Amino acid sequence: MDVKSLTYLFVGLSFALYIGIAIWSRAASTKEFYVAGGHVHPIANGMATAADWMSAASFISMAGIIAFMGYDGTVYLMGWTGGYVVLALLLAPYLRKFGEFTVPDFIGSRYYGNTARVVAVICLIVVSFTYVAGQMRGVGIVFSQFLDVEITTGVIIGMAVVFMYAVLGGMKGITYTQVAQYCVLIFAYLVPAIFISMLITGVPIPQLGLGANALGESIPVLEKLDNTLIELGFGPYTEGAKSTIDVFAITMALMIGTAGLPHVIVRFFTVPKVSDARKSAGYALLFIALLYTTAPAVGAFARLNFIDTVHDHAYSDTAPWFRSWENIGLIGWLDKNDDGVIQYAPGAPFTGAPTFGDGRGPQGERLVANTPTDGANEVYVDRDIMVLANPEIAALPPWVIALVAAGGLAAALSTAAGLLLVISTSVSHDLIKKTLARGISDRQELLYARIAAALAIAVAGYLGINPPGFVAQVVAFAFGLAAASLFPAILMGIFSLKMNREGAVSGMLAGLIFTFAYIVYFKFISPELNNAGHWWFGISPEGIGALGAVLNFATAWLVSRFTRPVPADVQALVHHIRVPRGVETPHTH
Amino acid sequence: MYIGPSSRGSGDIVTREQGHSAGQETAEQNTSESADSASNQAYWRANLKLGAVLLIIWFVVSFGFGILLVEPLNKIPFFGFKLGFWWAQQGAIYVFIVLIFVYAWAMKRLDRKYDVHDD
Repeated sequence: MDVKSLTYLFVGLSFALYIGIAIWSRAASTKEFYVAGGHVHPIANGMATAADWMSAASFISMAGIIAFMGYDGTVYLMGWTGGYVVLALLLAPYLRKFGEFTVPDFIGSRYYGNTARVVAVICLIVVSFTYVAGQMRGVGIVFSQFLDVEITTGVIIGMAVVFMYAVLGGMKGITYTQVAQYCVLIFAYLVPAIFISMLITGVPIPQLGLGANALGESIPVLEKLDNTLIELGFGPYTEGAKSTIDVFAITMALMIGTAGLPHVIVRFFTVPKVSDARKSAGYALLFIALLYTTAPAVGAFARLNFIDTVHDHAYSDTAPWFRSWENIGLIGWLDKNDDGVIQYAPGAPFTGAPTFGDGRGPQGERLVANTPTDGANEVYVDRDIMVLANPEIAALPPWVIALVAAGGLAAALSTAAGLLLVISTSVSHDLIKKTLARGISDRQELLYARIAAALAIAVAGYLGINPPGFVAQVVAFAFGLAAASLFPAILMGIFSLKMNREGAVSGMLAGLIFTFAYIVYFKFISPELNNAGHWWFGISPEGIGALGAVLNFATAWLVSRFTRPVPADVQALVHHIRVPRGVETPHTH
Repeated sequence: MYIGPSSRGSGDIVTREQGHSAGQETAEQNTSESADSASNQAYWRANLKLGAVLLIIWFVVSFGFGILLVEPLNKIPFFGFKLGFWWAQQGAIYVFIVLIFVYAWAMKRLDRKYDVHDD
């Protein structure tokens, strides 16, 4: 079978599996819809959390980003894993003991009132929608590149599948589909990684292959890569270009942002006990680390492979993958010196992403209409293709390529579903049930939850089809805002008996507004000033959430000292969540 | 016992702060006996101590070895890696996993020692 029929087969089979699970696990009550009844095994929850967490960005983009950033890619590797230590030690067990449905639920109860609850809902919706738009886009890209359907059709198929299991099954449906999706995505990630590690080093385990000697040579792969890059005029792969303080701030913002992301936190509401929540975080990180420790190997091998097969090769001799990605528009070649040979060097080959003119150049290449730069580099390459093109670059069998398409879809769909669920529950539970229409029945609330989920899917799909031009740029928002708003409020709610409503609300607002303003200023209002010379303390917009969190803590502490103390029954709540005994599964109400 | 967050409206808290009804009085005294006891306070202190030790390790391997000390460590070769680079892109992640499982195991012991376990 050829690549396309295999891809249809794999994607079709995996979708049939997800829909089958959705029908099998329909939710009958709000408790099942919100927290899967609270009976999920810690290992199953660990897998579901891993799939929930690892998005299209982790699966498709991360290794490519690392390939081109080298050491600086560390911020994502440590930032997106280290957050689980913070989550496991400081938040998850206590929130599980608290035993309610949503993150705003905790903030609303701990800070006694609807002001805190509504502020938390706003933070949650901003964070989650930012994130979900990118997922739907990822679904569309995989469809258009592997299955030859329009991005719009791809997004609509994706929406229909998510609709099936998120609206019917709620958290219960999502949990068990995520377990299946984890298996699909990790298999799809590891198989090509093992092949490529074998190809380049002869060592089948990518984590070890990264430290091994290049096949047939006497120096380690990383040293070879460093030398190759230096020869071409790049900085060495194993050393970074970012300043230490910026790397520190970005890593910190990503870590505490991860710990404050609502769709990750609610996964820990689904296990039966407090001790299960702790264990489950360990399993989640173990399953995540399988991909995250493989990614740096994939990145380094891909960069080496890319240079080997592209640099100093005549265009007429290039491998088919180079031209097929050129046809899609993610690779562009501009023969600046008219020698018919591709030169790869530092810097952009021309300004912006390629726009292609009609017809072909003398070598048969697509004509690029952009203004060339002065640099020697002739190749534009979109970082996202490194994982998707890797199997082709390494000439792997067609079924591996089909597998990667199914894996990318699993990663995007599982994260989208988790995000849509927290959006819909925060609307039906926190806004409607707890604020606007108190006293509605469980059945009514469930209906509202389903309507909210359907609406959220429609909005996400719209954003996927008509992506605002800044999707890639606003990813920094999601983590920065979670780090600066939700994380400090939850942390202080558990570890401080004295933190009151006034302190927490003003802290959340201060962190949120400061971080929001800083990112908007540098990304949208004055992008020309977005460089280290103008940043505060040398911290980029990606890392500013760390400073926003500090501001949140400081504001909250100061305000709480001059306002009314915490009521006795709320202090009792804090004492209650600090001990594991007496955990309840959330009650319907 | 603790009454549960959902049984409380936000509006009635201020009034309860000033004038307790008899029923609530009992509920709160019970809470302070069970949840705020000396034993539970000792459990909480032990928990904080354990958490602090593990978070120091978390900080040292990631922000320490992987970021602040990466340049001096990179002078040391380590199985084909530069040591600082290995900590940043591999080692720190392995330690993170171990830290969470150690925490889960040690907390289970503390839960039993102070008789607050959940099974």
